[in-house]
Amino acid sequence: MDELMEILQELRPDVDFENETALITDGVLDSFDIVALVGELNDAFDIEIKPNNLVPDNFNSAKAMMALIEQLQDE
Amino acid sequence: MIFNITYTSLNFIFFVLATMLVYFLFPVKKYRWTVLLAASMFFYAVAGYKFAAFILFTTLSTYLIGLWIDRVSKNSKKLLKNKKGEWDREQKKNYKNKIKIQKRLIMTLALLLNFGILAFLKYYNFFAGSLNGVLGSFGIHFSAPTLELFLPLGISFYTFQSMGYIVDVYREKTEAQKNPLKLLLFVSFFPQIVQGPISIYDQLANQLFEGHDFDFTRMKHGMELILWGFFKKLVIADRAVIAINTVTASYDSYNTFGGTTLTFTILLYAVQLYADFSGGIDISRGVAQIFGIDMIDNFKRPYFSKSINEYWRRWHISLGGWLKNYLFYPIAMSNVFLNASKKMKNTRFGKTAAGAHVSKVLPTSVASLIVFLVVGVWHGASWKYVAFGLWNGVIIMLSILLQPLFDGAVDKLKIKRTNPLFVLFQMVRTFLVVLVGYVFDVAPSFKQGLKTIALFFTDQSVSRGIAEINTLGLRYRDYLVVLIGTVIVFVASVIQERHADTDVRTLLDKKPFILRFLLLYFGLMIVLVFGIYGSGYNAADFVYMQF
Amino acid sequence: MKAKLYITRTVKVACLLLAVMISVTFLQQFILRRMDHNSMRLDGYYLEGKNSLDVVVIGASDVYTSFSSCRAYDKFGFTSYPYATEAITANGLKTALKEVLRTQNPKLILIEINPYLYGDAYSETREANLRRLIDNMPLNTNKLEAVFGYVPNKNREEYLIPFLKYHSVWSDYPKPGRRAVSTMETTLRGYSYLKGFRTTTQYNNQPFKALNRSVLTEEKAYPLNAKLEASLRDLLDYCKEEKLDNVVFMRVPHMVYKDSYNRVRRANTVGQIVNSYGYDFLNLEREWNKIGLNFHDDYYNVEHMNIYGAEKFTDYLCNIIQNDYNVGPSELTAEQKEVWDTCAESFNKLSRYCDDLIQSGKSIQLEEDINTLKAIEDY
Repeated sequence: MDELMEILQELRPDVDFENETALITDGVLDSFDIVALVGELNDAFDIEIKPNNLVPDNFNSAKAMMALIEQLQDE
Repeated sequence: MIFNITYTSLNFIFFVLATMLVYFLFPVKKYRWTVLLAASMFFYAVAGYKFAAFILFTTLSTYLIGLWIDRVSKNSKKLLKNKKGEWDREQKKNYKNKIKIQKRLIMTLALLLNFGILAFLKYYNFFAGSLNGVLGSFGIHFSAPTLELFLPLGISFYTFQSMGYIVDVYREKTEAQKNPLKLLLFVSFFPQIVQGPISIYDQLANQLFEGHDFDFTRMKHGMELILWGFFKKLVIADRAVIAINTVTASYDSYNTFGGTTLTFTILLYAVQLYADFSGGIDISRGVAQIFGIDMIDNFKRPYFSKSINEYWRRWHISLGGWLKNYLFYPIAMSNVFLNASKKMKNTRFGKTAAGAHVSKVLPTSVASLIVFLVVGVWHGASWKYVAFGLWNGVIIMLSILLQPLFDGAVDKLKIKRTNPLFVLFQMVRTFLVVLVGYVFDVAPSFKQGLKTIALFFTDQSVSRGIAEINTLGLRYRDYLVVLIGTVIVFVASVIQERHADTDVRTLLDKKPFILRFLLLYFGLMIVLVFGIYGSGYNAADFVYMQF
Repeated sequence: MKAKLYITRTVKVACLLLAVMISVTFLQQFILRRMDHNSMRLDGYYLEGKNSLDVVVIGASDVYTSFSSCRAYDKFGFTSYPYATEAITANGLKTALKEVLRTQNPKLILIEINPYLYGDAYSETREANLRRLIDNMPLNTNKLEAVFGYVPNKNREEYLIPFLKYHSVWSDYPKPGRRAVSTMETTLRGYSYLKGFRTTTQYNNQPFKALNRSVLTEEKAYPLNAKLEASLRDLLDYCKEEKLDNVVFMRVPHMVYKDSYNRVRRANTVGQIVNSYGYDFLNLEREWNKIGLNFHDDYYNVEHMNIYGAEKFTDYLCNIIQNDYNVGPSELTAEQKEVWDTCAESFNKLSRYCDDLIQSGKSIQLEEDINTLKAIEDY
């Protein structure tokens, strides 16, 4: 989780990732952020996030992202 | 067309009322969707009967291939379950890859078939013409014949929508629809068939198939939205388009106008395009809402955007969403693009501050540029639309690449980002960039588009402009109606912008009855009196001929 | 509780729809409408009391320029009205007849046969010719029959609801304002002053040679255009079916010249057909010299009489109506008499006004509108 928070803070220092729960729905992260984030996460966690994982539910909060990462690591 | 049943015709109103009556009186709620299907078939038969075969083909191929992909997915899952413990990780992975390739091939078949038809009908002549030109310039006199092709009603929209469904089935986001008639309804639903919005299966389908009861508030809101759409379309857009059509009537006539008139035309076009498109979508959404179906909105007051990037998130939202989901992400997240970014980071340039930023966003920018090329080509088969797409794509690319510079400048100048003047500056700047893109939409050719932009700066003459604007087929009082209409839309947009969490119609519900009554009364009367509809009256037709 | 909610909602929606419908009806009648002398003539016709007219004359422009109901009343005492619109079609004559039968029970209905005399049937489908009649008819079965019977199958709904076509008239204002006010004033008053009469104040200065002398002995009968003949026979069949014994066909005298001479020969055919159904045909084209018409002094152009011709012709026609068809003075209530007397006086004023204008060489068109009515007040 700390690693994820670090990546997120680096990506967008202006966003409060601890408390934000509608990152996608409210348009806080745009598509460029998402693509950059996916690249970082793939490397950091040795996973492969695919376009079909890109639903708002998976990226709306740091918690949701962590859940996705864990799910992909299991596969 | 057997008879006129466009969204703004009297026939369409009767058609919707009749469908409403049958739908809500249909006794078996579970099967109310069949009423919508019958209505959609009737609508398509009347409006585009010559081409019914195309939409049926798309539906059928989408249906079969969707089922096929679904079966492959399910069978493979079953097999994996059975082999649990038997196969090691490696075997599993190989099998999964094999299935993935198989599914991808089947999906590609659907995409090729359906986008193939669309591309052929829409772009064949453009390519044949361009090919002949290119070969000709090499001295080869080969002549690919140009064909007289007609576009089936709504083909772009229903092709995109059904291919989105196929990809969703491929991605296992949705299950394949087993009832072909239900899928046919999803593909052909009459409020959206002509101009979208392009709906996502998961978002729309269940709403379509579920039987809805009559709901007064929903009907009221639907009707209000339709009225608002009629206002934008009939009072503003269909009036403004008369002048625009005069300017763009032909290559030659376009050349006769001065810079002032062209500037005016582009501004008018910005108003007309938004009023026409968003008005049409409001009619579609309003009709759907009466039947209890919430379709996604296609516009979110795009001219208030503070950047081009934002503009494209607020303009034609359903197309943008489609392209993002099914084109942009797959490209930007492909190994090629992600690796390119990684490789750049590891170069010496990539280690610098600027380099880190560039290597992070450049590949993604290229992906977005590709998407914008597609957006351009979607608009029409002509180089000027390619220019239109590139212009938007390049601006976005530059704005993202140069983001740190802009941020630095803003910080240095000590400008507060929330300063209303700064926000206004951003909006105006964005709008101007949008207008430049529109130039290529309006100008008859790419070359004339460039010339038009030059004329903005070199050929402004108020007196000539006034004289020319007077000859565009509209009277000053018509321009006044467009202006007042635009102000009304602007005010409504500001109100909506300030109440992001609800819509103006819900706000209106809380106002006193008499105010709502007057608003609806005058709204209806304004559309009836000032709308451009009917065969039109020209006093000259009545001049005494014989006695 | 729920029932109450339903009722209030229904009432509210009904109120809104009713308000819009009333507004549209009002606009369609008085503001956003193609208003001209045709609309004012027909509006005036429909204001006449039910079964209050003794004579109705149906036809085209040669009717309302040559026959004055006011003068007929003044000199002969019977009430009448021209149910006529500019360039009325052959089919339109039957529609007009049905409207007359629906609203009045006249002792005599005269039908001018001009629409049958053309060499082609172009006029029959010309939108303007159809609309001058149909737009100004109230919505009823006759109107539906006309629209679905012979109006070309395009934008038919715009004939039933003229607002669909004319809503854009707002952009012509203030020009139609004069006629809008006239239309409203006539409606509020409840009757028209001039009973649809219209004229132009000039002499006929067209350079054609009048061939009316040979008309007197013209015996040739040219065949009619097939469509127009069918329309005539349809009308005659209708008259027979309905056992109408008060219908008489007639031809108003025109200045006949080279280009219009064939109409004289076709009129002879019309006469034969009309007679063969047992109806009278008054070919007054052959009685111009008995009427005392002069083709320069009594006409404003080759097809239309001016005020002098109209007075002579009205008197002559009324004599026939009185003597041959036994239409005597109407029995009127005091109130009706007062109205008709006012109308007769208005026409006499108009006549003097026309005389002044023609003599001083001022050529204008006069019809029932506020400008004319104001101008003749002092005569």
